[in-house]
Amino acid sequence: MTLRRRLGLTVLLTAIPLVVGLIWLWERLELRSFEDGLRTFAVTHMESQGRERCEENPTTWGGILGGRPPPRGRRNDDGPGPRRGRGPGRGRGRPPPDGFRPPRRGPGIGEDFPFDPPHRDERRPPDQRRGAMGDPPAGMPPRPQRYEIWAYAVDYLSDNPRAPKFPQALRANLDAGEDCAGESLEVNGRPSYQVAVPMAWTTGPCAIVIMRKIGVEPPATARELVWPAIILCGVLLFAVLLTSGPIVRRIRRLTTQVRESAAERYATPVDASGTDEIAGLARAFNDAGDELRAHVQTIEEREQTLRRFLGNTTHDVMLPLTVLQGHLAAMRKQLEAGEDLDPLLVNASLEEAQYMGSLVHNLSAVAKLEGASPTISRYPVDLVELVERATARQKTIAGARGVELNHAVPEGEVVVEGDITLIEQAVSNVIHNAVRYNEDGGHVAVVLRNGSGRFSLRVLDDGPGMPEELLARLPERRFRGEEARSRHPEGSGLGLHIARDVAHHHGFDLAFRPSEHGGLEVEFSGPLYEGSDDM
Amino acid sequence: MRQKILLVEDDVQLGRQIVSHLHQADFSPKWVQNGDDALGEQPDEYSLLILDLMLPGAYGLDVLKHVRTTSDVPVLVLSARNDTEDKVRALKLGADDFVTKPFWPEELMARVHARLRRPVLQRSGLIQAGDLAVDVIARRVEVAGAPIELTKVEFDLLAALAKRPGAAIPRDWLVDHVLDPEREGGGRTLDVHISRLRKKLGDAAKCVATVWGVGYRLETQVGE
Repeated sequence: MTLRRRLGLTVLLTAIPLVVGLIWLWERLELRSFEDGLRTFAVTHMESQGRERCEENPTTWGGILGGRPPPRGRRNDDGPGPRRGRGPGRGRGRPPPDGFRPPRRGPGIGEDFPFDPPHRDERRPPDQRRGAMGDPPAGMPPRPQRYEIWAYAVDYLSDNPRAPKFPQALRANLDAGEDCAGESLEVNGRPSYQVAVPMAWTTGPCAIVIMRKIGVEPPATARELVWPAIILCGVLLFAVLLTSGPIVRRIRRLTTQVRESAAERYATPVDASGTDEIAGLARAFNDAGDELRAHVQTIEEREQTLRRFLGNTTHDVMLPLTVLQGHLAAMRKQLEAGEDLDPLLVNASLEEAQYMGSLVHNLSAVAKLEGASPTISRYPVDLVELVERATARQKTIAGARGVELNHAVPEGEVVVEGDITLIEQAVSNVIHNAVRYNEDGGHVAVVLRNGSGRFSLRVLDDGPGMPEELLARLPERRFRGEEARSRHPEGSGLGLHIARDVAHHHGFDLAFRPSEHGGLEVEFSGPLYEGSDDM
Repeated sequence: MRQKILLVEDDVQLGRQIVSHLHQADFSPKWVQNGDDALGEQPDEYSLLILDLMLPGAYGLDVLKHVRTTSDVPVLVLSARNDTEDKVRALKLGADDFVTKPFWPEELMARVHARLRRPVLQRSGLIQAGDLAVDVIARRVEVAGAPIELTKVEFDLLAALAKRPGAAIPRDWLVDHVLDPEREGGGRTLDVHISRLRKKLGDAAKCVATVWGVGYRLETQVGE
């Protein structure tokens, strides 16, 4: 269902029952008030000598009350119905004074009932209660309203033979316990209304009284509001549909723009001019689009980085693997020929295997480090354990190369905050380099110190070292000293590049300098993790 | 009495290799191939647990968690995934150390020895290295049972090395912590003291080894 249809339907579904209910309630109240007036009139009349006279002459008492026409000809204004805009002088619910003349001249019925016309009375079906019938034709003076009163015993029978038969409907209502029952009827062709009122006493010929007002219809002003209400509902509906038009159009336009923007991977923003909720929605969409675009960009960058490194290193992995296969094939041949294994061949194989392992680890380190947002965990890392692990890993290769690898760590822990895998990889790379570029009989030492809230991790060797001008360029990716390249052609500068990046991301300093022993000295230094004790 | 080591490793080749190396190093290994079998073991019967994290059945970390509810046995974790979160989780759950694959057998054995050696360190003030015996508390030194007279600085130097047998101690640490900065100081003086110490130790002089690029170390296994 469209927004418009939903709005229109909501308006109708809310307004119509509301209007109908209000009109019905108004009408009920009006009628109730009208009946109350008649009833009060009847009770007051009976209590002020009406009863006495009735009981004196039960067979003749009853008929038209008073004889004077009401002072005004207007129907409802003088009736006991709800008064509209009248002054406070006319008390509500009091018996209507018109037509009622209190008996002043002794017990003469004729005073009370000046007219005693035989009349037809017929109850009208309710749907005919209104209409031209009750109203005098236009231009003619209205016929006077008058009141009739009839008395009945508790068995609903009257001693007065002229009294109309007690209406069945009213009887049923009184039997049901109501203190007043009313209905419309027609008397001599005039619209009338009558109420049946049980009296405070239950004996005698006037225990129940019927009070009629002739020449008047029960008030139904509320019904006159039906047409205005329908028109009001129509106008309301029209207004809602009219105002929702631009909103619906803007939402449709926004929908189209969002679709177009999505088709271009959110490259163009949607129109977000304005200050209302729809503009807010457009802005929220633009924000979401920006975020998504940034996210997609990050992912693409990371993917590109990974692809680039995979491409760069696939050949680096394949090369040592090929060399290793060659070494293994050569060793098998030596065994088949019954020769001793060439130790150089065995050592070279060990190195190729080691190199491949570290290459794969470096690759995963690079995947973590490169891209728009490096994923670096930060936990306390004990460098003592780390140095022992990294040294142990390189010992085999060092031994195979005839390089002595030693390490020294303080007692206890040296804790920094960072990514244990990356730091270990960085340190391993530096040690690996020191071992790999050293010679038989050479030395490598790893020394970890701490103090004054900082640590220092030095890797020194007595290898060939490096000219000063090359030292600065050492950690650049894919750069290797010429000497190193010639001795380990399948190597890659990735290791030192990673060491530099890891140091950078952890806030460590990484320094390269000539070692006092003739080779190279690489030093990581940085702050200790808070809570770690100095040695 | 050979120390028992429980190995939990699902790969047959690697498991066989590790068991063989443990045998060669004079340990008594028991090898189970999945986590559920590991959960059925009594960890306190072993001196060390070598646990692969990627296991069929129970996950390696679950085994670790289970072990730690009842036992303080040292746990060495083997991990193929070089993943920080895995390591941090393992260490938090009570793993003592980890070795990342691929590793050399020597590397693994070094970690095994390191784990098993640790508690022995704190035991007493008496350190034995070959013929050399150093009583750090009583400040006595004997070579093959014969007491050796040392100056205060010489003894302090030897004691500093003896407190961490097998570990290399940096020269600058010794200079800072053992030598008296008022009267003596500097690497030259240190070398002189060491040289005198070695002379007094005689045959046991080789126990005080020079470590290239670092300093000195008390060798616990001399004559290799």
